[in-house]
Amino acid sequence: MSTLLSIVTPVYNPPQYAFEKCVETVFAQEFKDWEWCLVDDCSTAPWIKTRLNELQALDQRIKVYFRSENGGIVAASNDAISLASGEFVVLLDNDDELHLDALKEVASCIASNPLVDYIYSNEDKITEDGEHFDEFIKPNWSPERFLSQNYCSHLSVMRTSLVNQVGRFRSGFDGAQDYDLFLRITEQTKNIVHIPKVLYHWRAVPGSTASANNAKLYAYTAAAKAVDEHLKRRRIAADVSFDTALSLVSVKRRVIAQPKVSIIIPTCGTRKSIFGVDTCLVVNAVESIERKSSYTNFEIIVVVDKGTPQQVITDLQAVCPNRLKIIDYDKPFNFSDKCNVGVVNSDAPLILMLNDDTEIISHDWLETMVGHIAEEDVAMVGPLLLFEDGRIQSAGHSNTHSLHNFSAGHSSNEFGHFRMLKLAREVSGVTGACALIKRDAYFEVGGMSEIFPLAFNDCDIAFKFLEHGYRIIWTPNARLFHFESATRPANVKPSEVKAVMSRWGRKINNDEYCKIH
Amino acid sequence: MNDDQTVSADLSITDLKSELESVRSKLQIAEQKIMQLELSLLQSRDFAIGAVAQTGEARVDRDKFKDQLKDSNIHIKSHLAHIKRLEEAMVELNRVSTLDRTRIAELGRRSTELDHVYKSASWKIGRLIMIPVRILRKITK
Repeated sequence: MSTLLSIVTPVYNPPQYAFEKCVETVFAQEFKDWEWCLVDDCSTAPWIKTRLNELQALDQRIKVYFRSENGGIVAASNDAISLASGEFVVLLDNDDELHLDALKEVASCIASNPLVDYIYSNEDKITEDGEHFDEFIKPNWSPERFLSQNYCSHLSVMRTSLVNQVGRFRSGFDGAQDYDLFLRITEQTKNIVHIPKVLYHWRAVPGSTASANNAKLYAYTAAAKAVDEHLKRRRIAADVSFDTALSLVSVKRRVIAQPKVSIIIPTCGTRKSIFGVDTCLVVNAVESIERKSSYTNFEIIVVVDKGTPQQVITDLQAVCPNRLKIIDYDKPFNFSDKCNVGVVNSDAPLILMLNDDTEIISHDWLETMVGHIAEEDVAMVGPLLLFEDGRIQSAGHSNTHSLHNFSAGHSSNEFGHFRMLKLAREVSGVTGACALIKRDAYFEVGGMSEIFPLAFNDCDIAFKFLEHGYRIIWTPNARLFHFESATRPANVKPSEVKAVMSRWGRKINNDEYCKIH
Repeated sequence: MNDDQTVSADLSITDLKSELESVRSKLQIAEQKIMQLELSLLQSRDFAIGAVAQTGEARVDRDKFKDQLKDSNIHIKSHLAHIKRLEEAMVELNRVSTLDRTRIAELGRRSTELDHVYKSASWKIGRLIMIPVRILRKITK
């Protein structure tokens, strides 16, 4: 049985050509079970009233209402929702275009997910001349990313009853009224589906939000306010502001109770030249933690291989006299097992796996990551790791095409696809070189797998977390150097490749959160 | 408290100290055992979760192979039908070629007969007799 879709469009002085294109794309929809609720917000252009009346007379699926006074986008949109009798409302701006299959795809999505409450699709922008550009390849539902960016935006389709239940659009959020509504909708439901196809073409006309990110500064203030209120409703303490340079909402969680963190560093006391100086890696890492961390409630557990020079132990005790635990490891090399040994020797609720070839950059690295892991369903958090020369070593994992560190080798100044390198977001994994993990979750999934003594142990544990319904967060706001592969050979054992494929082959090239290479 | 009790208290402090040491030592051993058990627990859970994941992967592979098998069967069926059509065509061709061979043999036989006729004395005499008639025909044409 087909579902009636109510297209909701507030109308206010759109460019005539753009409105006509909009009308064309609605009439051209292959799916026919729709109604179009148009509300004119006292447009001053004289052709609009005539044209809307014509449309209403032309097709009985078109409902038109003329407001008696200009009330702004929120009032007009709410009036349009009042006209809607469909099970779902489809938001369409008066100068944008729908893809010809948009409603068909939405109807098919509803048919395959009968409980769905909110659907969003990929989108692109379209010039006045009809040229398409700036395709936004979106992730599947990514609530952390949604705090920084209204990435769902267009096309958005919501269950009408839920829209009414949350109180429709709210005044005081003009310019970000849709973001505010989506935030309130997503508080009520987990039934959110992403259609990975471009179903909406956002018209970039001079002065529109699509054309220039700084065209509507008032919208940014409203966006920050919407996120701030959303976090307050979820009882998450955070400082929210709008970063105009990045065009992102900045959310900095406040860590009120400082849970203890056990920092576990497996090492064999390797030395390497770093920034031109011969350095004992583990001593350098521990020294940087001690010197730079503003978070205070942590212990450092160093798991040392048999044969590690005594001088290394002595130096470690000198740089970290009060909260260092040395654990001897005398089995054959197995990175995963070393990590597990470190974990069973700790008692903190949070575990931080750290390679010895790392160095802290940002003072608030620990509280930034602890802030994310405080959420119940977050099991693992990773920071931005940089090579010695400042290029990105890892911005989380990506499984698109192959298992790899996302954006490795790129400049740390790059924004990434739709600024994804500048915002905290859900990922399919983070590198084990630095990963904060909940102790309970670690035990729940059986820790690091010993069948991966060298490589893929971090991918494996990440997949296990995802399989258990946990989220994994990567944040660019915690930064460390990772002098990669200085402490172990970079080559991967064929047996590990075979093992990871036998467990998680279906997940390779099927990354939920990073659909670009 | 009397003197006897003090003495016994001193004694019991020594006993307690020694007992404390013994308990500490036992605790340490117990903690080591707990850690070993925790490591075993991690390994077992990982094994179980890994096995479930492998089963899931195997199911995906099985479904993939099932689809491949289905496709292959369809492919094979269509090939068999094609082979059958070819065989039928070959039978028809053979039938036609058998007929043709009979006809060729017949034609050959008649051609030989004709050769014999052309070589016979009666045919040659007849041609000689008919020369004037042929000449007259050419003149009249």
